[in-house]
Amino acid sequence: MRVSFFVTCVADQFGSSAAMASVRLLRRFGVEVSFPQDQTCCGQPAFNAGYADDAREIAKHYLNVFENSLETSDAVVVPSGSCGAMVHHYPELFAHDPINLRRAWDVSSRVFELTQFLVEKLGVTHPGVDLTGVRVAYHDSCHAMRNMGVKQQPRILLEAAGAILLPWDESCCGFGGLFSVKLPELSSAMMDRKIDSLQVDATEADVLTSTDLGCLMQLGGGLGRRQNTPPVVHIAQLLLNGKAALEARVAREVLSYEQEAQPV
Amino acid sequence: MEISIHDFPEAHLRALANTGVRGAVMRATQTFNQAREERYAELPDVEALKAYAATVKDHTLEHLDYYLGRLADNIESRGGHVHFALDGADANQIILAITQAANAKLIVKSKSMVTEEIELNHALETAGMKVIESDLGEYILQLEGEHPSHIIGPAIHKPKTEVDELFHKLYDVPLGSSADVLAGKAREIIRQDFLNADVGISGVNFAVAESGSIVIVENEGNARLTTSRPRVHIAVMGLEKVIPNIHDLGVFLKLLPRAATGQRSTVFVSLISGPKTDLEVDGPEEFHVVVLDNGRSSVLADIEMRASLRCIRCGACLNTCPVYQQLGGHAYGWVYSGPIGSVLDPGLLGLSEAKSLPFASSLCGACGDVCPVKIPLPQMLVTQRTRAVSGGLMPVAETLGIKAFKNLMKNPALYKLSSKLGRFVKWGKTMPNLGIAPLSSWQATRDFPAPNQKSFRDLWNEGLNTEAAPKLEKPEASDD
Ligand code: SF4
Repeated sequence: MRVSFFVTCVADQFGSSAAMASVRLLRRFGVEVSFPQDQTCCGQPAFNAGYADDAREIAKHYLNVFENSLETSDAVVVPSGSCGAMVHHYPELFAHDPINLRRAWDVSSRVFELTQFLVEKLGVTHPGVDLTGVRVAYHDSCHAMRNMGVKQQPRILLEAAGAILLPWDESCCGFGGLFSVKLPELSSAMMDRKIDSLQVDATEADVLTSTDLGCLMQLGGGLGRRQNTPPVVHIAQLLLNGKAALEARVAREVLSYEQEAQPV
Repeated sequence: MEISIHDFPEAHLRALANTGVRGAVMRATQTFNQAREERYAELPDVEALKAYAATVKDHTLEHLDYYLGRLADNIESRGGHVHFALDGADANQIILAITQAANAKLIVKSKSMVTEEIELNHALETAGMKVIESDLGEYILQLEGEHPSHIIGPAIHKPKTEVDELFHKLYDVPLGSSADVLAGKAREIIRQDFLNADVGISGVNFAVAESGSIVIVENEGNARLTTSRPRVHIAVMGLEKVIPNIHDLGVFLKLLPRAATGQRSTVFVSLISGPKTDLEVDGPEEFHVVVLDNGRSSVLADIEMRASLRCIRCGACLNTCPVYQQLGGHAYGWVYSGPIGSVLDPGLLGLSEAKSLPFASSLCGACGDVCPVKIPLPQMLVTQRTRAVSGGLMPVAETLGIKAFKNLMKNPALYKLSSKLGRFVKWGKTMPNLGIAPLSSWQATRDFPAPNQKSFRDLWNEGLNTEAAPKLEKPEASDD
């Protein structure tokens, strides 16, 4: 199986170790990974803020890049559900543009979130690491869950590795892209509610994880202001490195977490 | 109700500062949510039922002229009167004329959001009539001079202690009395008003075209008294409330109570098909139905927004909305709050009036999941945003920022260059707060990560691209 890796602009800049872990995880299961160099962003910030015309221009660039790379690969894999979900919105964006609509369908139907790809396309049932006894707070990214159908896949992999999933409600972390800076007090109130609903402190959760870097920036950023919090890592890091991923003890280090750039 | 939607930027901050209200709203909505999910889960295929209800609503909206005509003919054939009102002022005038002809001094009302929408109480009171809200929540709000904050639970924002104090002050009910005692007191007082009222005014949950009936669901029995005891009954409905026939009603009666309060059925379901006949001992002598447009036909004509008229006002989207849960309804500034308000209010009031509301959402999508008539609320929020942008309603700085962002993302060379430039400064783990918006807005409550020392692209080109695959060995389960 050959895949084109869509790193997302956020992971490229702020989550390079999560992205690297995603590539290694795919390779662990025999996937051949390519990285189309001209990729940038999916256009989600513009789309969600109502700038459909600008989003369309970015989307056209995306289609050019990935249409090309899909000629030599079977799928696009993305380590962030909401960016993948954005590509799934492309057909909506091009509803009145038949040529691009077709391209949008072609590409978006082959875009998968990382854990979704592992479980549904590769049939992976065990991530190949040991997380026995690790108490994991798994945050459902709203867009991964509702727009891409990512709900059981990450849980299947975590539980197969022996992790204990802590019950946590499905509510939004309050990130919402530009929403988080346009209505920062409201966004933060939602974040606090989400964090408090688990009462996450180091004594209750060993690690907090999600499929989405946007959510992790929000939750990790908020936890960075609290005491005694668990590390926040992207699910690829957890599934690649197992218990070693827990070493980033300070939540704020998570997204600039390059120390462990070695393959396992 | 005074329209203050344009105040959302300040009003939502006031709401966030009010921890009493936030606590009450959070508790009430969580209770509603849990009950709804339990009752939804009991249905063999709730998604199919929702889809059916949506189809019935869409069909009716497609042929609205026909079904409203049938409804009017059938109501009139049994001696009722039907009035079509273009807007709130028109509706108020019609209702005022009926109440004046009936020489009304005292009017009892049961719960109706549409009469809030047209500010009917104000119109009646200005004309010298006394109006009593008979729904317990509405009654409390009327005593306090407040507006409802939720479609079905008008007073959910009120902590019980506040109601205690109010009843203690007004009626000398001991502080800390149970909800039953408080409700008993209200019942005792309102009962007298029912006996003395000249006119009863109700809302309408569904209007069945084929049988010419209006349907009201409720739990307190006050709507039944409102519609049966006074000599004149006036029912006020938005024009989207009509459904074709009684068979479809069964589907809606299954969905509405489950979606709204998590009940299998409400305590009372009233089907009212006209004034008292010669064979009946109770019921009003006069029966009027006022059908209100007030902007709805322009929503009907708006193909992207039409589905918002499917709404059966269950309030589920409010309960599940993490924004509504934080703010309660008043921050939204008008009768319809939460996701449906953010979608519908711009259509009814004009987008420039309500332009903040579609942005009051993280687009989490929870509302779309729970809506019993499958209104694509998240998609509609984006559509309203897009209209606000193309209508030039956004701040210039934001528009320029997005243009710059687009130019960066369309141009890989520029993107790669700025990725390099962004790494000239060594920031450490997190960005320092330099007081520059929008980053500083984030940093008020959250750390923001600095760019990684190396971007993924750099890591890829510096060796990840050719790195060997990590070994796959299923580890022995260890027990630690
Ligand atoms: S939009 Fe849907 S969920 Fe919201 S009040 Fe209307 S029917 Fe209920």
